[in-house]
Amino acid sequence: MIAMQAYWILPNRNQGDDVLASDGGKIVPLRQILEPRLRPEGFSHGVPSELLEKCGAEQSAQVMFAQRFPQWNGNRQLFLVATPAGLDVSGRVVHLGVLFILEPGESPSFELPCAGLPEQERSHARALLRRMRSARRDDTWPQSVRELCELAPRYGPATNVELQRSVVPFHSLYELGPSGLTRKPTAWGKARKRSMWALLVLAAIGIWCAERACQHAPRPLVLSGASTCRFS
Amino acid sequence: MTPLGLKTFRIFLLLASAPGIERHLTRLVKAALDWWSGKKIAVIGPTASGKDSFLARLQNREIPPVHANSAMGEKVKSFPVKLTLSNHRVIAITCKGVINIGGETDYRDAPSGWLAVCKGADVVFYIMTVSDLSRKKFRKGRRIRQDLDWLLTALPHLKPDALLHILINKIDTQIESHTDYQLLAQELAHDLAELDRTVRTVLHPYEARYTGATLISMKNKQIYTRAINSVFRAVYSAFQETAPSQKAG
Repeated sequence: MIAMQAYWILPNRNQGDDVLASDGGKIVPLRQILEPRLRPEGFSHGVPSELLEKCGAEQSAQVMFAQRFPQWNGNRQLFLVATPAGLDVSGRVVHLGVLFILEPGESPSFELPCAGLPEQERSHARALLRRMRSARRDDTWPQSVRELCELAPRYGPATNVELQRSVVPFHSLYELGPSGLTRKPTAWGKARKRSMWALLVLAAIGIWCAERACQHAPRPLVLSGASTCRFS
Repeated sequence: MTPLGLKTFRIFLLLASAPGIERHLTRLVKAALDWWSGKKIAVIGPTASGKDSFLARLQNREIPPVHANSAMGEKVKSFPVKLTLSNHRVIAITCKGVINIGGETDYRDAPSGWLAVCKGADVVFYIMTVSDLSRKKFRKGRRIRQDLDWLLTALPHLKPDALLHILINKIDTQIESHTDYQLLAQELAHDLAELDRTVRTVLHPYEARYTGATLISMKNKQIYTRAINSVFRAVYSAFQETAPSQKAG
């Protein structure tokens, strides 16, 4: 049985009082779909400003932010993907998102209707879906979202990219630095790196100790020179 | 400053001198400077009311080029605020534990929303715009009134001596779109009085925590500086008025 529910979270272009959502047809306030009181701590309606600021004006349109809350409201999951979607009436960046309400073990599917969305949002929605379905390996943002979809629920609330200004801590897979979005080293990778360093340090200490021991030990008498024996 | 900005500021001064617009004119004495130091503030208000711009102004920086509709509660690094007063004294405050959050009602009512931001705050700044004032959005059923109703339910959960001040942003736009400033001053005085009455009625029995409303412009730096000085004075003088009654209670 497929129980997945998916809703578009629409950009607040007119600076309205409510965040609006759509199932691809009818537009309703998001609160009718997801009561604010039931929203988990740290739930985002779009791309955090921190990521947009790090990317700068030119790259920010490419950002894809995703977050996942396993074991939400019982045993269900919340999954959100958002991307910048142009500007509002006063020139602020606004966001378009997809919210998935999933059963345990279910993964989000990006085969969604968007024909019923307002015309201005359709192109952004199609671009988001296209990027999520594409297998291009050089586009790391959707790749990071796909990896978040596959992340085991035991990690708890998680995001595709590390956030430093979030009020709530999230497990994350990627980090955004000056060289762009890069995969964070896994726990195993970190442990391996740490043990390599420990081995190197131990080896250096060992060599130093051995050298010290040699310096302090009584030296055997060494005779050098040439001895000649005459055989007659 | 552009000639338009300067003209707007001069008219603002004229408006501020009109009866009913600015009431708190106590001097910001040393005690006030001491009182403000180390205070924690919360900034809430509807979307696009100017919360981000207020934070930028407090940090003495321009609004960043990539400016976004806030999507989630985000921490802001501690920063110093320095306000130069007219008598060349400087008020230095460190803003700590600042959280920037969106203005849609979704954020207001979410568990990690406005209430989480306001908990522990000594002063809550509620920002609205001058068009919210002129369109009477503080009347029953409308957005500002809903927020005031929310504040009434939130106040018992805040610090017992937490104060509320309303900032009415974008006065510069109103000045620029008017030519009859005397009429504008009359309208503003009338609307401010109505807002004041509404806030006091809605927030009863916590009306003593309300320290007043101030017209401000985050965009026009001169208006901002003058208005924020007035706000700091207003909050402190209201604190002095409420403190004895709180102690007695």
